[in-house]
Amino acid sequence: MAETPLVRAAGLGKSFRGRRSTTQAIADIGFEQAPGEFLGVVGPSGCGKTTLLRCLAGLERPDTGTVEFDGRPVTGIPDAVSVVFQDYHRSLFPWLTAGENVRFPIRDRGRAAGREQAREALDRVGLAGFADHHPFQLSGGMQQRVAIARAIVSRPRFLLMDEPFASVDAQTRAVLEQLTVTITAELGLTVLLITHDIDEAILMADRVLVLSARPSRVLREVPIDLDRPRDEVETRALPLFQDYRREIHRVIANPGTAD
Amino acid sequence: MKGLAGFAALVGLWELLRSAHVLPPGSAPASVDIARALGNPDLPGATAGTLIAWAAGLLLAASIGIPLGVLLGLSRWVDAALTATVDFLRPIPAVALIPVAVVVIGLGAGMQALLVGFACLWPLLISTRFGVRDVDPLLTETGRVLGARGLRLAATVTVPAALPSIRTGLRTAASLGLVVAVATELATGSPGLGWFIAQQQQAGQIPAAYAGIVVAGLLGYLVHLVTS
Ligand SMILES: Nc1ncnc2c1ncn2[C@@H]1O[C@H](COP(=O)(O)OP(=O)(O)O)[C@@H](O)[C@H]1O
Ligand SMILES: [Mg+2]
Repeated sequence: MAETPLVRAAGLGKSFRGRRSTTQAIADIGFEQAPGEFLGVVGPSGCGKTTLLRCLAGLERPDTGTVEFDGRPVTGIPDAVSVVFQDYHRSLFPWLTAGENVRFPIRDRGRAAGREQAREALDRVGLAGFADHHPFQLSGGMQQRVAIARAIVSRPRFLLMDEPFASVDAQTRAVLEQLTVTITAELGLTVLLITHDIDEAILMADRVLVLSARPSRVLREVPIDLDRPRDEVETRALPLFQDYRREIHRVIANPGTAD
Repeated sequence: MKGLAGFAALVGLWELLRSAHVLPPGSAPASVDIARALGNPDLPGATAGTLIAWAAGLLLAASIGIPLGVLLGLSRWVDAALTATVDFLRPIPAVALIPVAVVVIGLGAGMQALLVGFACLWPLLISTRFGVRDVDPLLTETGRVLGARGLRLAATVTVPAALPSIRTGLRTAASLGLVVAVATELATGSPGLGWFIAQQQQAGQIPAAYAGIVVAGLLGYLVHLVTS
């Protein structure tokens, strides 16, 4: 990688000690991510993807290894890092309206400025007229849009997303995937998207990190050389897309033969 | 409307039991007489006395119970340190403390507010503590990721998320506080509805005594309406 990486993880390992047994979630994960790069992370469910994200966000301390953000070791939650959690419907503040949820990260910026920036963020996700709605009045897809608006309103440099579209219908999902790619590209955001959906990773990412089953390690890094913008239907039909798809499926199915 | 019909039915039943002599007419006055006695000139003052003691006690309990409940909910250490004390004090009925309170603090509005406050403290403290402990960790984690820490996190995420629970505690405390306020007046002669009822009964003004009871019931109903 020519550029200095924005994110660097090396030798990450993480176990959870239970009362009876210990679960090793991550065996050994290391990677680098360049500024502005869109990295997809795929792996079977339960392999430690969420745990990895939590280590990267400073929410969890790895047992071994280090995470560096912008050249500095991550010990707490860095200011310039934002997260969209898997359970967006549980992570929106139900007592606040959509507009107030989006204003939450920027409450220090003064009333007028905060309102304006929140309005702009809601605009970006296509929810211009919904600032006064409470989360329960919005559909799942709209709630996820609010979560995305809230995650980008403070102009973070690194956005972590944990299976953000896992619980919306296929139609909404395709729309939200496009929306996320467009917005993060416009803002020049560095994004790490966790998903168990290989197609989604190929459609959205510049590079895909393939993780093994638990305890996870990196099986392969697959750079995705597909032109952008990537129309969902057209891109899926490309032979190159099919090749990536086949490669990643094979790596996951036969981890032993990787490399 | 339904509530009104229920009330009318209650009045009807009262009159029926009176005319059937199930209720002795001497101690069960006609509802018209009770209604007329609602105009008793001492009644507004007595009502105000009860309301003030109730509000002061509730305010006192809320200003201690809610912050302390938040602290107990947030800190396992503080919780462990105080649980035994709380569990020991909580079952003591506030009315059982009346004689002690009179001796230690003396008669007066302060003593009454303290007793009401003591009674109201526990439901507020306990439901706040449980409410805070039950807050979805994903919400507080989201708050932290979005830049809120410490006191700020508690004020902007933890307490709002626990609010439904705190409101339940407030509702219980408000009703209980009214009971304790009236009971304290009955027992100690602090100015209020309880004392008014006792006085009228001793003076043989039975309709007025009932009027006091009706107003106490009405207050309880209003408190219920306001807090739910
Ligand atoms: N806080 C925790 N305590 C105990 N075990 C955990 C905890 N978090 C995750 N695990 C375990 O670690 C493994 C990986 O979990 P997770 O990172 O959520 O996987 P994924 O997101 O890939 O589905 C799972 O076996 C899970 O049960
Ligand atoms: Mg997960």
